[in-house]
Amino acid sequence: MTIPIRKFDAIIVGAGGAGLRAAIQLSEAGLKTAVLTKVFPTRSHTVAAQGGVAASLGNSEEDHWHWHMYDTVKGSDWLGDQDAIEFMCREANEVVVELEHYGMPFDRLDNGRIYQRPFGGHMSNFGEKPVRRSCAAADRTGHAMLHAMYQRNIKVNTQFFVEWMALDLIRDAEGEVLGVTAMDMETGEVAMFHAKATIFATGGAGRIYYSSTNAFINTGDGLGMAARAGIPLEDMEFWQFHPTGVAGAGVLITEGVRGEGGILRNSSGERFMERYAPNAKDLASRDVVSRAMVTEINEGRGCGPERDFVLLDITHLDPKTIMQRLPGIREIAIQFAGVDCIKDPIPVVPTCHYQMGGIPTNYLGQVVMPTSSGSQTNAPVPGFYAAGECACASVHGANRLGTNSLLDLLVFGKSAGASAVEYLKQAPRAHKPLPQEAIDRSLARLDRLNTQKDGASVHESRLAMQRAMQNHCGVFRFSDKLKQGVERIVDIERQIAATEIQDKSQVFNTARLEALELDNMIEVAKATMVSAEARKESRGAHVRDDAIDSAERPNGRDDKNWLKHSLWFKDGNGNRLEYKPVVMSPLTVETIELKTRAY
Amino acid sequence: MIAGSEQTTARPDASAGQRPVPPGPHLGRLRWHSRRALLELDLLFERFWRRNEQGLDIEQAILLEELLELEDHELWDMLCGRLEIGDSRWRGLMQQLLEV
Ligand SMILES: Cc1cc2nc3c(=O)[nH]c(=O)nc-3n(C[C@H](O)[C@H](O)[C@H](O)COP(=O)(O)OP(=O)(O)OC[C@H]3O[C@@H](n4cnc5c(N)ncnc54)[C@H](O)[C@@H]3O)c2cc1C
Repeated sequence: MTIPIRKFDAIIVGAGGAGLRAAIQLSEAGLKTAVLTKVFPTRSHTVAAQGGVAASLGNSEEDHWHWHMYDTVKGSDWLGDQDAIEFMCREANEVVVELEHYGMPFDRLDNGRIYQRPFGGHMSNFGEKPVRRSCAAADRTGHAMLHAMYQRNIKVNTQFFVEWMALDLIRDAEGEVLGVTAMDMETGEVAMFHAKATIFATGGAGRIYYSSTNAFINTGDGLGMAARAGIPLEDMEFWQFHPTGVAGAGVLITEGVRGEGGILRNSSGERFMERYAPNAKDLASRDVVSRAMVTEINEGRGCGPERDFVLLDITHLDPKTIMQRLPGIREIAIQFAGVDCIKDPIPVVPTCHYQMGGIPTNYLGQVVMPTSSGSQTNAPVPGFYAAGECACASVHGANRLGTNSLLDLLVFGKSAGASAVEYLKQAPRAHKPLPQEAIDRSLARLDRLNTQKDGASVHESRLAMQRAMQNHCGVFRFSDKLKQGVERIVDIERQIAATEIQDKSQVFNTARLEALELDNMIEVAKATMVSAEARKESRGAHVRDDAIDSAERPNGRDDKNWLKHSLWFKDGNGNRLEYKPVVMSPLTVETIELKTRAY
Repeated sequence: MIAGSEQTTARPDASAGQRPVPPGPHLGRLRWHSRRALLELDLLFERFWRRNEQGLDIEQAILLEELLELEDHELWDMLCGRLEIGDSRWRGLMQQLLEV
């Protein structure tokens, strides 16, 4: 079947922080660039980011990119690639200043320089004491960032295709990427976006979990498309959980609540964090608090009829403090937990927050994968780039530091754009011919949805997947549960291959869009479950009950066998795992040697 | 839609009176525009749509369209009472969004 073809030098899928930053680079170079996005750019999930963006500007006290690099390597539990981490920390100041020039309204010091605040895990002098490294625009950092970069894109004539959903990545027989098929939601029309360079910036996939802080749009479309086109997904077992999501809803209750004196309690009212972290108590790091909460629940000290949450108590605080210092928290509690937190504690559970893994790239934003002969583990896929939460550079390794994600968007959005510009300088003038069979496969997927009879419900299947992920692959992981989880996900995958929609209309058919999103989510869920089951150690956010804690394997981390990246491949209807080494050599400085990660 | 171009989906004709806007292209568009950047808003709109599966009144559809044009933080702040509601006509619909 033939479909309309639209030709561009470059296309970018995604208009969040990473996509907009990449687009600036390409459009400023005068290239014909299209950005496709499911929602209006400034409604991308980057808007939700409040905390800030990290850069060692040293505006309030001494700071250095090398200290930032050390913190990031340590935060990653040594799974981050040290070349990419050095690159990110060195580039940070430049991209933040560029953003300022695009009009970002950063908070300022009296002397006019950007104001910086401390943030968990960011330290001075190689882990000595907290340092002010986060640059913010009030509590609207992500929002302000997107607006500044969107305006810049308008100025440099980036062409936006808003409410176009990319469906499939198109690769030819040589493996070169030639663009995507996409659907205009307004008409249902499907077109081929034919490009010499394609950049994915489609954000995270946090909605694969039942309890997630992510908005509904985070369905991992880029990862699903890449996996179906034979590109591996890297380190998918690593997901960061935020300790305090409202039970049942996921909405994030900021750390600020515990900062103001909020206390976590179990079913007997005990302040249990005193047992797990006698000094920091409720303010211990995210992973320590999350694990303590899950231990309480697993040992039967959870609250509610199912004993499946704990309570965040601020009833002892002055209501005025709650209203003034914690704006929005009372509304969140009333709306999503059904309690007035001035009078009653808020039910909370550790909640999926951030995806560390993704489409494998190098620090230049080029997508890389092993060659079929196995002679290279990081060979660039011609014409394909990725940046932001959908990509794995890998700077976050096994655990991300707060404020490093917005930095990742800026640094790797820019470098992916710059690499594409270089590639296009050398590319032939004419576009390569399109492989019709790849386009047909994409259309067949749509057709299947239109003709499926007696199929499964999208809503039920999604719920089954989300519950399986939450129950079998959550904060704490158990060998037998993971094994059952793999079987369960394979069953659900079969169900999802036969989803049926009742509404077959063309225009803004949300049922069809959700079914297509689910096709992507299941790839991410399977990659996560399979990679987690296989990794027989604890590292960063991946914590297994059966990982042995010994002098040789501190906290269960087994460097001898597991200091390596997982690569999950979708292989026809099955899948396989390969591994590749972690890059331990930075670009210009000495290796940051392996140590126990302790704070 | 390409940014800046006119949207072509048919809108309800206000002169048609209180006829409900049935499920279909117009409602589909409003439903998709209810996908927001903040989970808080996603959850409120999800609840709203569950209650209004059969369609909306014309007036409700017009007001909803206006609300959906707002920035996410602005809308959330208005719903929380931290920001003055931009247009008093929105008050009723906001109340519906907040109904637990
Ligand atoms: C509540 C919350 C608070 C956070 N706070 C911080 C913070 O303070 N600091 C920090 O560093 N990080 C923070 N993070 C993490 C950070 O916000 C995200 O990692 C980051 O914003 C992701 O940006 P992105 O550009 O990769 O993707 P997104 O901003 O999610 O954008 C993805 C884009 O892809 C488009 N898209 C997706 N699929 C398709 C498709 N199939 N077709 C077309 N378009 C598509 C979407 O329309 C969207 O434009 C926070 C995360 C959450 C959930």
